[in-house]
Amino acid sequence: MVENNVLKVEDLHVSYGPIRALRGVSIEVQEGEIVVLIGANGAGKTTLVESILGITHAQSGRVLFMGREITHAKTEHIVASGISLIPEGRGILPLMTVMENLQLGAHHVKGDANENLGLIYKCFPVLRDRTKQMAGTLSGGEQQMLSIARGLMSKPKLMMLDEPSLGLAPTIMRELFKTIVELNKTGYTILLSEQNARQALQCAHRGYVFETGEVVLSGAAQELANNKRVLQAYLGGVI
Amino acid sequence: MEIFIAQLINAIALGSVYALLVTGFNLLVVVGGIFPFAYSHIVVLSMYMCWFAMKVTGDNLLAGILAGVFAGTGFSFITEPIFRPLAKRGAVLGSFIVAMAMSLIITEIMSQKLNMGIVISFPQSLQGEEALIRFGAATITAGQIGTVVGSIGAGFGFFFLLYRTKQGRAFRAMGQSPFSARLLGIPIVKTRIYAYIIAGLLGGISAVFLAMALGTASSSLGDNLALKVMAVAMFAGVGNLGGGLVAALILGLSEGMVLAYLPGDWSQAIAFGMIMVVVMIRPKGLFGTMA
Amino acid sequence: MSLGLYYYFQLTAIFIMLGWTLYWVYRIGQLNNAPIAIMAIGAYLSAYAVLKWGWPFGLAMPFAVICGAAFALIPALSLGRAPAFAMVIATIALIFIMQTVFRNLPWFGGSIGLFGIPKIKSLLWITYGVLVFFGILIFRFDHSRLGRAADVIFEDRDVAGTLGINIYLFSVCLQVMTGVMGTVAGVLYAFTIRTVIPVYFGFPFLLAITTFIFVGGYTTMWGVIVFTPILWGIPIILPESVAVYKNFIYGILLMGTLLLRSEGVIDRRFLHRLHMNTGIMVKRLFRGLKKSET
Repeated sequence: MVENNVLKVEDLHVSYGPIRALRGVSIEVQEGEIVVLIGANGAGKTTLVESILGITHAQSGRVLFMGREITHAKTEHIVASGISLIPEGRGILPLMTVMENLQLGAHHVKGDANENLGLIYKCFPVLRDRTKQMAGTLSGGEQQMLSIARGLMSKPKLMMLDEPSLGLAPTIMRELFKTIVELNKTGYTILLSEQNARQALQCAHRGYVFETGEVVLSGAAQELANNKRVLQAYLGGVI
Repeated sequence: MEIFIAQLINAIALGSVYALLVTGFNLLVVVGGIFPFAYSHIVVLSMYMCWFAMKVTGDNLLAGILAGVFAGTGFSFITEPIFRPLAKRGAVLGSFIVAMAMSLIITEIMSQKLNMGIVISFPQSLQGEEALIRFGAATITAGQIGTVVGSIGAGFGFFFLLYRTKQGRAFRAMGQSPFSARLLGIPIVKTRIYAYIIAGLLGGISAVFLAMALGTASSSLGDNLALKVMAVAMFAGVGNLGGGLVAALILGLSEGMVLAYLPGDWSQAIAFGMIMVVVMIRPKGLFGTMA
Repeated sequence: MSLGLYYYFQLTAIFIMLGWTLYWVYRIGQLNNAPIAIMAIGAYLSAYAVLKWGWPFGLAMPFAVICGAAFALIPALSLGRAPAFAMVIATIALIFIMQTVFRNLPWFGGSIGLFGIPKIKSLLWITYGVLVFFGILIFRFDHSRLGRAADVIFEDRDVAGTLGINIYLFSVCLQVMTGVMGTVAGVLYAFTIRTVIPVYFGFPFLLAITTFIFVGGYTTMWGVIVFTPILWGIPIILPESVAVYKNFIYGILLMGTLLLRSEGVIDRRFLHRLHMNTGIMVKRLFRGLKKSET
């Protein structure tokens, strides 16, 4: 079978000391998909995303990116090979300007870092007007946009977003998910981790449901959205 | 009156060297993630290397300068692996104690092995024999001018690096949030090593200027300088580069002026005074810390 | 008792006391070097009182202690709420300043200092009496609510705050208490060596004490007790040519310990295992005794 896998995680086990955060998690992301991870706080979504990026050490299991194993690779190499993480809480640098934050997104890009800038400003026109502003003075929604824009600067083959809707007002949240869908249409492969299950499942192709470090359900996003268990646990009950 | 001006120039020269030292110190704090108590001691050790080089080359100015600069850079580079496990754990107090131990080792080496513990004095050629400007009873030497100009130059160079280059951005990113820096693919260990190298470079340059400004060095100079550098850093806010410059000049000026009227011992008292003032009124420093 | 042995026992006790001063304040995560500086006050004032005013030792000691405590209070009030590194720097600076002050003030003999301090009978008993007294204090502290509160402060200051622990008050009290211990140590030191010179109370001395506690183990009071006699006793036995590198060796030991076994030799795991093993041994002993009875 021809593998169109951008990302493949096989039976990953991650522990923080005696606490087992991930117990044998396996997921895969195909090119051009939006895959969503849903689950409560502490279920292991962030741990998975950070393990993929090499920030957290895995005890066993494998992570394959574009067919190559990156399980124990250094974060800087993983990022350079084309994975971007937009972390929970945005992770922008408040004491640096918008432009500098964007430039940092292209830090490891060898060529002209600004070639993606045009596309990014089209997606996020707000940022163009604020290039010299200190990132810390932006609103929550604008910071989220900056965070995503920064992740785009390096034209990543896989974008991972960890709880991007956290702390955002409902209208901004809708804009955010619209943006994610648009980016996906332009060709970006996206792995999304969200507590806001409803909106996330609406824009995704496939999803995985996490509970205490394990994948308990997986399948097409539509099916998951209609699944009784998921409805009860995350979508406010059966209608 | 002319004597006052001469002392003022001396004080400015001293202050500008302190500014360089504080900058190197802050860089190690912010990017290195440690408390570099032994930084000043490495600088003094470099002064010894400069002196030694001049001795064996018959007072060759260039040899002395190169020796000092390379020594500073090299010694700083060597200490990076020692602090690496502590920086990784974020153990700042632990790094302080290690640095304290290191400083004592360096002081012991200087007081026992180098020049058999006798105070070293730098040849006149380092201070610029020909007085450049003379008015009344006061003279300004080439050394003093060189120090001020050189420090300003080095300072500008550093700030250019920090605010206009890719590596500088990486430094600032790491200083503000090592986690975010990691996510962006900034190589953490390599960046830290660069920081040590640059701090060492600044230290080496400072060593040469200090040799010019002070004319002598001894094993106790390390502790003396360390206290002043920390006082300045605390006064301005540890990690605050811009504030550090201003505070360094303040210290240099007050010290230069006080030295004219009180024995050298008491110059440390000013540094102590600055520390206590800051601690009592604004523990985060007058201009606030960086991160 | 030979003079050498006398010095060894005296100074070991004094250094253990000083190690405890560092240990006690570090229990709440602050590195307070002031006791070394305050030691100078204790030494100089008590020596001065006895030499120049003709006071008896019994009067000079409390006098010095009161002065030391008062002096410890002043920086304590502002350092109590300062960030950790501020306290370290300020107290190191204090050491330098104290040396400068005592070296330059006319009454204390400058660099030569004070000498000819009279011998005190049964100083050894007094010293060990004081040592045991402080030891009991610290032991009771460690095994009380206060000790547990200190543990919380060390782990997470914010949590401690939410539990209603007043960190500032805690810190000030500890600083004054250790200031008193430092003063007492200083007095005892002066009357053991019978000379007081500024160079004693300086940075190398601070480093030696720091080495004793951090190599010995800073999570427990026993680390200092076990390692002080070893670490400061061995250089005495060594030949002169090696002993001169004492500070060097202390520095390397300190660095090595912090990098490799960060809690010190006697760390919590060691104590835990010791506790368990002792418990097992005691139980076996009991069983053995019971068996022999039947």
